[in-house]
Amino acid sequence: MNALHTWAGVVLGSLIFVIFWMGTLSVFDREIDRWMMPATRLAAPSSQAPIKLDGAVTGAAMQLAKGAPQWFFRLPSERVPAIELRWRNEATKAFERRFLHPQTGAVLADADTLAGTGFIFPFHYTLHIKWVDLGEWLVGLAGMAMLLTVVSGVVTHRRLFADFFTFRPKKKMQRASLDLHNLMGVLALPFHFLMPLSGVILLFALYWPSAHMGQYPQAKNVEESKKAFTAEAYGQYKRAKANQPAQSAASLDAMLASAEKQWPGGKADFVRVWLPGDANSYVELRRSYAGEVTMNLDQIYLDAATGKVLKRFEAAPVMAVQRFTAGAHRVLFDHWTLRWLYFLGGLSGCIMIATGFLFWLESRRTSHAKHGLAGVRVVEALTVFTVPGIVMATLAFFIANRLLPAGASVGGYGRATLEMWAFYGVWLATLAHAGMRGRWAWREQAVVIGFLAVLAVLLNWLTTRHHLAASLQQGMWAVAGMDLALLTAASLAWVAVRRLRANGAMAQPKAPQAAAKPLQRDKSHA
Amino acid sequence: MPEESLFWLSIAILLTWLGCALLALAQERHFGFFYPSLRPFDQFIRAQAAIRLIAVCFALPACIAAQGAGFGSVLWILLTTASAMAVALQLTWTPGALKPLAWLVKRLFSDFFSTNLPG
Repeated sequence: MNALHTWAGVVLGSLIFVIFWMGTLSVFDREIDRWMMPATRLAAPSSQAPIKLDGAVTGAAMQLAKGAPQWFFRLPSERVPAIELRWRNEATKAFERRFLHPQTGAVLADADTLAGTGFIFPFHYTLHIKWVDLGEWLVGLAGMAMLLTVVSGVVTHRRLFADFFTFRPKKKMQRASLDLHNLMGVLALPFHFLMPLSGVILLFALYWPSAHMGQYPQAKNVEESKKAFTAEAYGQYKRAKANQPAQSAASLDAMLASAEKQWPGGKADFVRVWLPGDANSYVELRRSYAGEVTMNLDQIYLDAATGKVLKRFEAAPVMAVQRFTAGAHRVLFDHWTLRWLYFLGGLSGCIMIATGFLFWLESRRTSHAKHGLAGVRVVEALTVFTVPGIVMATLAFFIANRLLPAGASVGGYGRATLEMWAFYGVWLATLAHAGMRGRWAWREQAVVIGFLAVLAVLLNWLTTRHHLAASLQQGMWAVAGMDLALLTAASLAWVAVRRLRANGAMAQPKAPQAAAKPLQRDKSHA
Repeated sequence: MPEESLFWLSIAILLTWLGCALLALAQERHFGFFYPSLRPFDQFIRAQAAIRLIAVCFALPACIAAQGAGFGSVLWILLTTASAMAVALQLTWTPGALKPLAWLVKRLFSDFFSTNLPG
């Protein structure tokens, strides 16, 4: 079990850290969007200014998505105060996204960024590797490895209950990192077990495609069985195009009001117009996830011309377990206490993985150096690459967003791509730096993280005039929260720099006898 | 958040923290710090274990009363984790902050302690 815990952690720990880091940021992906898309920093919707889809908003959608076989709105909420419009561009076959003002329908300035919802969140579960779904398979593998390391860690940790609340930060790096690894691992054990488990369950259809074949034996192949499952489990309504122009259009606002009457206590947050402009056009409404953990599948399809209900769908009770699991993982509900607890849980996972690496490195540093082994050097470079490296790359992503001018383009690649290049470029540079500088890279990258975090806050102020005090005064909690998180990151980086400078173990390896001394039990509280 | 929800949420936070703090006080590693003249013994440990278990378990209905079954059950798991971390950080940086609780526990379990005083 000890070997399993150690080697599963060392081999896949970097991947698990990256997934955990991106997952932790994804808890606030919409708030990151507000910071990276300044035009969408609007006041939260209120009953004094109700949303009106008919007229200007729908007109803007019809104009922007002209020729598209469907387009959809995500309605404004406290976290996303603008209307999000998406459609598939038939020329490029890519999905386009614009934000509209909820009252005037004005198209807000396009920041041309993938931001939190388009880059950070998909990175969490696809690693942005689309080839043969390799990214999702790697994430699944990491999820299974995480489950193994959590279980084997509990078995391995003999003094689980005796060390339950023990953290001795003033001890040497090896001892302090093991304390922190155990503390985070044990205290947040339910979170660290449930997150990878629910993540693997979420993507079950990819990892276990033949499951559908067993349930739908009449299907000729896997694809057909998947379609049958999707229709039965998630609901689906399709109507063929009439190839006749629509004679009339019913009010979308009236359809929304009627749907909300049918969902007691629930609100619609998704409106899709299928076959716009055609006589057979129809509207799909979906119920919001805001009020509960379970991601409901409530849908209503209505005729676009008359507003007559064509089909209602609610998930079968058997789906409730899967939808609760999915909801508990995705955190799409509106609950700030839980959202912050998820964020802290995610950070505790990051600390657990990073300190696991630190303990492995510190306990082998001297012996590997003595025997001329490259293990510590390789693992250290990878750890620096994935721990401070990805933090620095994320900060570079934010800074590129604030520095690149509107409409920036290099070789035909737009702003969104350039931001991603900044992320990957800086991330690769941290690997090269870690390879060259060894243990010194920790401190040097921590210094850069501190500077970059402060720079991001300053750039937000200079480019949007929304400094921290202004954001707080105007109730822009997402922007203020991001700035405060960046300043906290800078402070923690400063603490890390001081700690690394003070700790001789990271800077100068001890003599073999001293380093090989077994860890002493300590009952002190210092 | 409605006042009633806030009340039950506060109760849940208090109960989970109390459960974790009692667990910490009864641990061999921390017992000597809070009760330097005493040594832990079975009856006391068992009684404290029962109270902390009750505290953490009762936090679940408090969470459900505050937020409903769905949010409440998830909240209970995460609050227990957060409370345990808060106690761990208290023990690390300000262990003295737990001394009033230790004093209260000593008063509550004075019968157990009186049979266990040295000399």
